Amino acid sequence: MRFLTSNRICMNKADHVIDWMLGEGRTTGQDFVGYGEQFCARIVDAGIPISRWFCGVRTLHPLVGATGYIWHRDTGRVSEELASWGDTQSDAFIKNPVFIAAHTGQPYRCRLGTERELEYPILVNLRAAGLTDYLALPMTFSDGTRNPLSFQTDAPGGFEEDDIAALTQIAAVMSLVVEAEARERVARQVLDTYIGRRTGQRVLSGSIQRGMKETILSVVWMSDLRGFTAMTESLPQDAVLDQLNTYFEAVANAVSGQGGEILKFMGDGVLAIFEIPAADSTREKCAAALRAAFAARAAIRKINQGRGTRDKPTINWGLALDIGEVSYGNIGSPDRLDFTVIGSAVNQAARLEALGAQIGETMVISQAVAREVDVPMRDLGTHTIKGIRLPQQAFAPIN
Amino acid sequence: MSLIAATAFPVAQYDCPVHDWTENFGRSTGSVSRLVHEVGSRFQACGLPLARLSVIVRTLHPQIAVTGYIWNGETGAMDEFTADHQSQSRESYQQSPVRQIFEGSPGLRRRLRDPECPRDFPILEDLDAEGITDYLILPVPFSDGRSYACSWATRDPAGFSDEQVGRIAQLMPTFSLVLEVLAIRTISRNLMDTYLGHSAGMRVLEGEIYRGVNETIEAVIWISDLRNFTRLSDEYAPPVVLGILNDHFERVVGAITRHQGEVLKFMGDSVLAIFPIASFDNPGVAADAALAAAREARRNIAAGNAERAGKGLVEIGYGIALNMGEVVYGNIGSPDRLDFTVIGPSVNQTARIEALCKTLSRKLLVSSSVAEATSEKLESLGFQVLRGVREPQEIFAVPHQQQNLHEQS
Repeated sequence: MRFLTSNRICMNKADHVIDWMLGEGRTTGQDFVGYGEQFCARIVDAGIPISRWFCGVRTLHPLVGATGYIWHRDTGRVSEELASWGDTQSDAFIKNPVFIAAHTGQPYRCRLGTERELEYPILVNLRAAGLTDYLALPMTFSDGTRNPLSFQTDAPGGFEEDDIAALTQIAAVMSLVVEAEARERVARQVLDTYIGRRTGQRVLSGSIQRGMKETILSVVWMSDLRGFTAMTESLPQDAVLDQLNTYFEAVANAVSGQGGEILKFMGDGVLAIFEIPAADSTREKCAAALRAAFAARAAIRKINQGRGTRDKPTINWGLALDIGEVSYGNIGSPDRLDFTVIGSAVNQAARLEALGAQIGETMVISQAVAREVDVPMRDLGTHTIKGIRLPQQAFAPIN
Repeated sequence: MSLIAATAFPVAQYDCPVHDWTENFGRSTGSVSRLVHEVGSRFQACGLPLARLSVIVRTLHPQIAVTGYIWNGETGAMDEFTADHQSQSRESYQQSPVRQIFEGSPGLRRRLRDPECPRDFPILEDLDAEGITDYLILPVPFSDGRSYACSWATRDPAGFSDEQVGRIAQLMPTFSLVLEVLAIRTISRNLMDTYLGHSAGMRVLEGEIYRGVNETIEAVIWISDLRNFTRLSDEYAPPVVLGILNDHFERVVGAITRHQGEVLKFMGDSVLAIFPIASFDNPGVAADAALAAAREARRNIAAGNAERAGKGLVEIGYGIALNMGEVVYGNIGSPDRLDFTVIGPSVNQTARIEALCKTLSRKLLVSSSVAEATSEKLESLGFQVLRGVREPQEIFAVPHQQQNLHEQS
């Protein structure tokens, strides 16, 4: 029902697709893969004979430079391809008209089977695969950055002129949809990266006011590097960074591998939790936290086998596990917040960790955790912990 | 059912330059405010007798729930207002047409010159008094499933014509999508400011999100914390502890921010902040700023303790340490879970100096590097051994006399 200055009949082809994109399509609640499948099906329903669609979205994810979405009419499915930062600089990336169009901001069309296809090797391959026409329509975002979008057909004779006009109209709206999606995703990725996935999702869904939203029972993980201050004094800066990053990576992999969440890095310390959703999962979560502890220890031992030189000293770390109710939410000044946990279990874990450093134990397990797991433990005796009224019994796994 | 069909007004078929402009160029305005301004003036140039165009969208900011942008069709001026998270419980919201839209109304129109026109919202009387003859409010659907609002008003004696209402309704779906794109930009910036701090947040959004992206900078480093926090959290229920912490952080962060420091993180009961030398004229100015921030924080905390004393509550103890040196500023962590922070020997030394506050019974301790740079007169407390640091370090404090002034002035 939208009439623009050009040919009315051709615009009709785009109308249903655009009405859907601006209406129902906004709130499908699907990920972009599902969205792409519906979008392409609607284009085909509108009588525009696309057989392949490609859309690229740059990301801010530290491990993913861009995501490509490809739809094939034969399967009706969209597949997702992650391009790492390196790949976006590669030949396969650069020698592709869809990326060139995104780079220059100019649309690019090539009827396959004509001499023009020789401009790009990939076009020759596409023709060999039965495609007849190729249209790249770059999407320009609000900050001027551009992202690739292309439509291809295997219809004999290629796209009609009114198909091209309709796809151009559709691409203008698609570009807005993709920017909204990309920006939402960037916000999500940044939060995942800097404050953690679970926490990030809460913040995005509106938990952004100061205050504790809930109290949860968790296994609390507190680990740090031993002798870190002395190390920063004596080691070159790059070696310190390397040591920190290597240790953080080993711990993060171990924790997330067992379903825990890293809440924060604090200098050389890591605070993580394994949430206990119901009382009957206490044993399971304590076991998971302990498995993560063993995994981190094994990973660090392995890393240490290749270390021990002056520039790459071995990693000397320590860990404490405790269990308790922690409050979870936003803390800080009114407009500078941190999403964190507080609770006596957090402080106690920190103190147990310090105790481990004093008595030369890598792992210190509180009594509350030790009694929930079937791993043989050594009794480390009863210790008075600074700031905590009752003396605490501590344990260490025998192996 | 599509949103177009769901709006209260039929979408007619108009050739509309404002629509084409919005679809193709609207987002290049870069902000909701400029977009609203452009759409208002472009519509007016096409003959729509707009007296006012306003848009209300979500902001995802800790203190602001929604932001409203109002374009005045007569002066061309833009005005912004914000509503906090409690605003929805207030009467003014409860009785507003905005509430109807937020709660799912497809839109409503009030032709104020029509004697039959329902006067069902207090705001209609105000609009009438301002000479508004026709008022239209429509939903702005976002992909999160929520609807925000957009209102259109005219002083034209005849009100909006059917064609004009049709043009407005036709614009809404595209306008809403462009508004969402621009609103998310603001939301991302707010989130970064809130959780990473302003300058770290800007850098991350510009793409510095890779481990290994960092630089060495000179800065005054601030570490402060609460005394006896472990005991407090063992003795009091979490909400009380939380109240103490939030109150303390507010007093400290306010002081740091006002003196151009950047809060990097909260760790339990402690605050890590920097005053990058590059943000000031020279190291001396940076050191003075950090000391001024410390003085202000101490005043703020002393005021809080006076309030507590009045209620018979225990005093909150604290310590602040300032040090100056080279730090690595940037991303650290595992590849997909990062921290934007500072590390380096100077940071650890600062933490050790902070720990001395307790031993030496001082609330503010300063390293020799800061003491040398600042124009303030400080008192040497002699050479002190810092745990993990090889050489003893000379430590300074604000002379006792001045210290008292700090807390009183």
